[in-house]
Amino acid sequence: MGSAQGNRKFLKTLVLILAGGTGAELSVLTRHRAKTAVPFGGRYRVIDFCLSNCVHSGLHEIAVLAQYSPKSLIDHIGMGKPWDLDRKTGGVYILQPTHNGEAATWYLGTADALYQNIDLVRNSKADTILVLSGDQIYVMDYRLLLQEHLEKGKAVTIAIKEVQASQRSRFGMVRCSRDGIVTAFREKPAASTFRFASLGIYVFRRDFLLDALGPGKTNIVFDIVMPMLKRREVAGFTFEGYWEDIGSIKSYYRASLQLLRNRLLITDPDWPIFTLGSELAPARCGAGSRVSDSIVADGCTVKGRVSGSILFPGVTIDKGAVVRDSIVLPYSRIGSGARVTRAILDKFVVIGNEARVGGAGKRRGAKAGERAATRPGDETDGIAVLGRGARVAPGATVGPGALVEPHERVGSRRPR
Amino acid sequence: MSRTAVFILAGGVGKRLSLLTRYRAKPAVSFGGKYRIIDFTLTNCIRSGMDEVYILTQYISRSLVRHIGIGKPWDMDRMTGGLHVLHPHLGYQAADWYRGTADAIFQNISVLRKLDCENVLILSGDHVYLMDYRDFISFHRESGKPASVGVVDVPKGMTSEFGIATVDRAGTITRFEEKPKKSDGTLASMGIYLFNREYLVSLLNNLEVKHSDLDFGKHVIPHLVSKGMISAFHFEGYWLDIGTLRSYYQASLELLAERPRLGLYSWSAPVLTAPDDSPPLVVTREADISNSLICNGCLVRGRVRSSILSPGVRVEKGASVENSILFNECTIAAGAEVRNAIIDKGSVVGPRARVGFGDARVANQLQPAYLDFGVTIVGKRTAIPAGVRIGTNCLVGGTLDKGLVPKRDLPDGGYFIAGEMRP
Repeated sequence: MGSAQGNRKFLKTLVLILAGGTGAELSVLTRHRAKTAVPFGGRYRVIDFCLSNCVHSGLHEIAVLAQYSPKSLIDHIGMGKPWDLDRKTGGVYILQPTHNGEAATWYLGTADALYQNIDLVRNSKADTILVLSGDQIYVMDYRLLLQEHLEKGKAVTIAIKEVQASQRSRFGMVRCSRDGIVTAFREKPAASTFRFASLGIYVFRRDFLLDALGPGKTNIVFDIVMPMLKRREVAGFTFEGYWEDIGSIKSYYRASLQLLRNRLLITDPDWPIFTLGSELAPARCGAGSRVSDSIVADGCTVKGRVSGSILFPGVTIDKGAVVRDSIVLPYSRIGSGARVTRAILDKFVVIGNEARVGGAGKRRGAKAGERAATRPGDETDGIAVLGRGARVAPGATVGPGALVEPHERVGSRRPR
Repeated sequence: MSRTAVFILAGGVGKRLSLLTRYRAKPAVSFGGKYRIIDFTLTNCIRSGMDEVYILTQYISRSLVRHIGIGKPWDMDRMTGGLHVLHPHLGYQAADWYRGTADAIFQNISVLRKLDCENVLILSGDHVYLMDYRDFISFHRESGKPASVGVVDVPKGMTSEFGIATVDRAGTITRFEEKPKKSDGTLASMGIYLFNREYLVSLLNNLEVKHSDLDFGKHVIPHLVSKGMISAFHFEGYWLDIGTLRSYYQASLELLAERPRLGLYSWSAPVLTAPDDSPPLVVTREADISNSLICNGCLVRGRVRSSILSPGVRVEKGASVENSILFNECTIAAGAEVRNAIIDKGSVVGPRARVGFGDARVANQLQPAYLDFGVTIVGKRTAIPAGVRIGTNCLVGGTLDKGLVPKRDLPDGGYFIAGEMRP
């Protein structure tokens, strides 16, 4: 008993998950829900991935810092039962900005969110603070990251991953020396010779973090990490697995359909992704159905044809309907003879019989009877996106790249 | 309305289900892909507002107890009431197995005595149906009798399998025949009973003296009928007693109908079962699925027709599954063909093996009475080696753990059972 404790140093880790972003880039999908609560992969929510990573890595003290549309997140996480996080010690809790008796504000940025919850860090017995983003899809054993942090002994360790030159403008790019020390950091550079992207996954030494946080420090990268570069106190942990940030409709669509090729992400028996399950009956593939190259959740009824698509629980595809390369969120219904191609349908969307939604076209922004893109993120790269509860009348058309707001009605009802 | 406590009889051997109940109690047998038979009764209980439930187990209860746990999926993990499992136990005065359905209740009479409730509902863990027991309770109150039994209409030709009741205008049962060869009545006892609690306590105390194997159908109901003390509640929904392999197979495949009689697809009132962390169903490009129920956790790369796949089943490339029921985590390897079969949990059908093809008229040699309708049963964790042919009406029960597998082809009606198996 003593030997294990005598020979090895243990880290006691508190996890803080940043989940406060508005996710404006996700357009109609985040009008009513937090970005981290966006459904993903047929039965999950985006945040399930980092929560599952935590419990598989033996981390059981987790605070989720939320502020935008937190109800979706609270409903989903609850007291953490699906992750076995309903515990006597530790567990998961959701923290929103509160009035602390002095001046109260919303979380002004990532570092401010940590600062507003500094008592949590102060009162914790943890010696290490792991800060994660709740809006990323990846499977990572944080024990390896924490081990690296322990061995390098720096104030901060950040997870980094090599990305192709064409992708570098999307990320914070870092230069990493041969001995694993991060020496330079450029946020979303137009072009960069740095090969590694920061993944937004940080490990902090507790005493360092308590010192570094403070009023006016709003951003983790600019205000906490960058000042430490010169002192060579930032270590890099190279991650080689699949990692995708759900930062736009385009990346959401891409990451979703990549699952069809990369299914081990959700089917690995040694690393199951836990979620709040649905209680629906098994999926029903009707007599005339054809389903191929797709992910289909419980409670779906498929009588038409589905290929290259992801169907969430309770989706109905009627006879003669054809769904291709699309993502259909829970309880949506696609009427008979309708065609849905390259589209994302949020929950409770109804597509009338014989309607046409999306298409292979690459038209950017929106048209086809809907409004043009006006808000950030309303660039959909040709993917038609229909908000929660939208209805498309029988025979109506929603063009490629169109955006339909939640509960909007498209087309007039015509007698059949 | 005062509380009604529920006792669920879940101890039967379910011998007629053959290999399916060799390692588990009948209420724990898989049904409809993701459910166990007892889920229907437990779901009915909680939907009817009954959260004090005692489950009486006896025969191989491990998988059943594991499935129901502390009753979390049915919201029965409660401070007051809740779900309790009553196993046969040693007592200060006597100890024995449960010898009959009513004897099982009698052996727990101390529980019954202490309950703070007016009525006791006695159910069976073997039935598939959706019913609001509150209707039954209202009927019971209005009848003014101390006991009621649920009855359903059954087809004329099937009356010999049930207890048949004759009822007068007021709903009181005037005649009750257990499995009559011929009967004019078609009202069959569902084997679910409502009793005034105090009445039941004294009734069991009196009758146990005469019958040590006290049984509701055999002793208690005839006794109450003779005294005119029991009335019949006519339930008009779908109800099925999973009695035989044939009824199990037929009722399962009936779920594939365009409008099945059992309503599994209510979003607002789904049937509740133990949760499962499997990923959603993954279907690859080569797959070809039609007319089937397929659960989360399955991977389909082959052809599936008119079948039910429980969670975690894999159907590999070029494999074909037709008119079959596959329990959790079965694998049908590349090029294998399975037809008219029930394959129990964790079994593997090797590459190019063929299961279930043959002449349905040849009944099984070991259990001809149970298995003569053209279906092959593969028991739990059985490995069928590559290329082996298994006919129809076969019983195959190997064990993966000990490497006991049927090495040669099995003709129609044949059997391969590792270890003991009662005919």
